[in-house]
Amino acid sequence: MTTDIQDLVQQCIHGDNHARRLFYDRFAENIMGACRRYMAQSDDINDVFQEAFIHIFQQLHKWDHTKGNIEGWLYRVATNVALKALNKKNRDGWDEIAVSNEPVDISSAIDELALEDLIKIIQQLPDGQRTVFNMYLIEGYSHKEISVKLNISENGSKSQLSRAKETIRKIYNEYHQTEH
Amino acid sequence: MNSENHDSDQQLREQLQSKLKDYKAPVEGDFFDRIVSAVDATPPPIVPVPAAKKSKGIYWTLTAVGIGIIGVLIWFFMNDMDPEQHQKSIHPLPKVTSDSTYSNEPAHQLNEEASPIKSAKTSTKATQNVKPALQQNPVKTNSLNGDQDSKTSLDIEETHAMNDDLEPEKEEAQKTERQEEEEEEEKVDMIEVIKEEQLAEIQEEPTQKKYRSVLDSLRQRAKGQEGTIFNDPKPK
Repeated sequence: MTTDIQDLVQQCIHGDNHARRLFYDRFAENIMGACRRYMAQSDDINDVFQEAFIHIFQQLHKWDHTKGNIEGWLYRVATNVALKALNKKNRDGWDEIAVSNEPVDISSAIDELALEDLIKIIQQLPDGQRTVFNMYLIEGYSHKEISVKLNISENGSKSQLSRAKETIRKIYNEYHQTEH
Repeated sequence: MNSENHDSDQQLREQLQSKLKDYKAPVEGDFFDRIVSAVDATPPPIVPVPAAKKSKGIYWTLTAVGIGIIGVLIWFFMNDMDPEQHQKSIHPLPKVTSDSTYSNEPAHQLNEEASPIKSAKTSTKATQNVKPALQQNPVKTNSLNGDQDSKTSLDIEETHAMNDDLEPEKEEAQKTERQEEEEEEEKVDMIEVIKEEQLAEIQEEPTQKKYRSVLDSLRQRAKGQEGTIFNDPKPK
């Protein structure tokens, strides 16, 4: 399996279009999944998807199979391209929102929601909230790391996360009411 | 409060990661051709060369350049040191040999036999011998080489003309050499004169100081006495 991937990667590096096609078909949905979590508009999603794949084909020689699997590397490239696009879109940064220190529990909502519904709710979040939510809760970054990556303060990151949870709960409640 | 938040975040993290870890979304439309054309259109990224390789490359380049410079210098000095070679490169020698003037053999045969090195070595002799022979008995020379074609006679005339051209150049060279020697002699003379003047100044300084001190003491003494030669004459 790993050797197959390595061979395929080598062929892609040498510009074999047949190998590139195989690689694209194999990993396109993984990349699209990452793009859909970070971007809301379909145009933005497609732009980031293409940009990510161009980066992947250009930088494929940098992948070191001893340091991790290809899926992880592809995912990192895609998220970095998405973050770059979001940073470019929000050059002025995201406003710090004053939030209460009350903990917001959305675990029951996350449990109940189907995967596609959860993705739709995440996509409805504003750019700042969605980005921090993805980075902190799904990628596992700390607030400090997020503040460096997004050029915002640590408190800004915390407030965006807190607000994101509130928004998800609100949307979930609305969604839940309409369901019943 | 913070620890509660942290715990709940950790729980939420695990929940979300398990749900979204392998999330795949269908791709609407085929972007492959666009992606590949964009990849092929952009030049391949420049892979940074390791510092060790860079320094090695610079080292070999500099070594090659150094060897080249040394080679050129050696070639230049070798050429410059051999005056005969130098002369040869400036004035290409005529084909006629000295013997062709006096021998009964046709000149073109002699030219064929004579190697280029030999002709180069005998060139001075040739120019010296050809000239008086032509001046004294030009008809005889022609009669001696009666079988020769007109080309050979033309060659001799050309040699003669070249010899005439060479003489003023020699004279000029000698003149310039003389001028240079004279200039050098003048320079040496000038330097000697300057040295002498400087020495004289150095020697004069202490005597002048002595002189001044004597004069000053005399002036001070004369200040008290009117009508001495040191006071300015009063206007009448």
